[in-house]
Amino acid sequence: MPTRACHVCQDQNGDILIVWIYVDGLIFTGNNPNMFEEFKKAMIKEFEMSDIGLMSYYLGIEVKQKEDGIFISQQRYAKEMLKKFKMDGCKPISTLVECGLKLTMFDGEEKVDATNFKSLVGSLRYLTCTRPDILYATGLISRHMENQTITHLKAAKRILRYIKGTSHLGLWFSSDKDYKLVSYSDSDWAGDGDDRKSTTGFVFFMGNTSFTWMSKKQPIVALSTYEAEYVAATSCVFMQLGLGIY
Amino acid sequence: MKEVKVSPKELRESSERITKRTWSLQDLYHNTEPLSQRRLEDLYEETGETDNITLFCLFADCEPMNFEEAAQDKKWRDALDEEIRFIEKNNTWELVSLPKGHKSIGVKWVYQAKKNAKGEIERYKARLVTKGYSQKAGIDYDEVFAPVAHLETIRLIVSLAAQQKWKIHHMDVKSTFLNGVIEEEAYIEQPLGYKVKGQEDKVLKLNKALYGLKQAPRAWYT
Repeated sequence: MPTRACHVCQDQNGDILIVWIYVDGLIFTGNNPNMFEEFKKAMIKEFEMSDIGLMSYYLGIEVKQKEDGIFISQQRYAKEMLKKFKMDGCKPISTLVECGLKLTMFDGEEKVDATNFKSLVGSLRYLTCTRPDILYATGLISRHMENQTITHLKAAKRILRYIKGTSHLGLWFSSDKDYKLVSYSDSDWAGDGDDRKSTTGFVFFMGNTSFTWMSKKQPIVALSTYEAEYVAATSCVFMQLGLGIY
Repeated sequence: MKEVKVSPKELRESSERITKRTWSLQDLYHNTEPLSQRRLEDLYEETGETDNITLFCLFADCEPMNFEEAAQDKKWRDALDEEIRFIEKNNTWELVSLPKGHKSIGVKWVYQAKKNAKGEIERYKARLVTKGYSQKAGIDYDEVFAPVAHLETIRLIVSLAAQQKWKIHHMDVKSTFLNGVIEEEAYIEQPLGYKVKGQEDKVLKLNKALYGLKQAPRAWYT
């Protein structure tokens, strides 16, 4: 998978080393610990580097490496976010969106502070790195970045209340034997009341845990449910092809 | 003195009332509304002159406000020295007089107390940054980008590592952007506290990138 920011090397013995770069962070893994040491030495020769050891905190994501798997979460980020939007004392709620809620652009309610709303949406978007569960609800409110009213803010705050009760959740990648790529796609039909466009959703699993996902309004207006489903399936296949090419 | 007779029952009830009213410090803390809220800056202004103890409590673990403050504190002065040492070791700049027709870019110090995942202070860091916002696209720099891995790639590899029971290691390049060679000509002012005596009006010509320069992320990548 040689992308420019991610490199895979393999030596004669079949030992592999995977390195990926995020601006100045260097993360690497592989099947031979001796290779780690060699790589570290080579890097330290070239640049002044600090060896942080096992990855535990990276881009606001907490990583717990255990014997039987790896757990990633953004608990600290979620808590800081709640504090930032003064929702750290709120009452938790078990659902993200009110059942059957339809948000519309033209609800005639009072406008709210645009900067605060946009910042909230952005923060929630970053939280979807390890929380695919909030993705759909976040998508719903991010459609109204241009025209934000009290109703939209209320919907956004409901997501925060959900997070309040679930901030400890994350993704658990277990070392299960069954390691297959499985993907699912689905779509609604004309879910957005304003422009009648449908929403695509897909999720990819590797073994037991999902590693990539999407929830996005389709770019075209589907005339029937099957057309909407096809659009969703197509973007899912796109993603799959992309993963193969990496 | 008159004796007041209290029946045992009353006594028990009243003692119960008292115990019921006794709050632990924690309850008190959680049930007390703040009397008023003020901005930290206002507080700073008010207490600045008169009450040094309050000030100390407020800012014991804070980043310094300006260079004078940082220069007084040993841990921050060490951080400043460390940054300058690194820059000079890296051959980042040379002292020249500013050629005609060029403008020098301002620099400033940024102070940061680095915290770990638990929120404890790990180390004190001073960073010399340029005021890159005064640079103009097309004149001072062309392209801007930085190497980043897709988050899904990262998650995929984490999942692979978990399945194969591999360990994931993490390294950081220290002062990353100082490693990038820049192609464009750029002049910066001399940093506060490290001006060369007798040559204060000269500027520094950059060989390597500094933080804040628009081309810094790109320079690191190439």
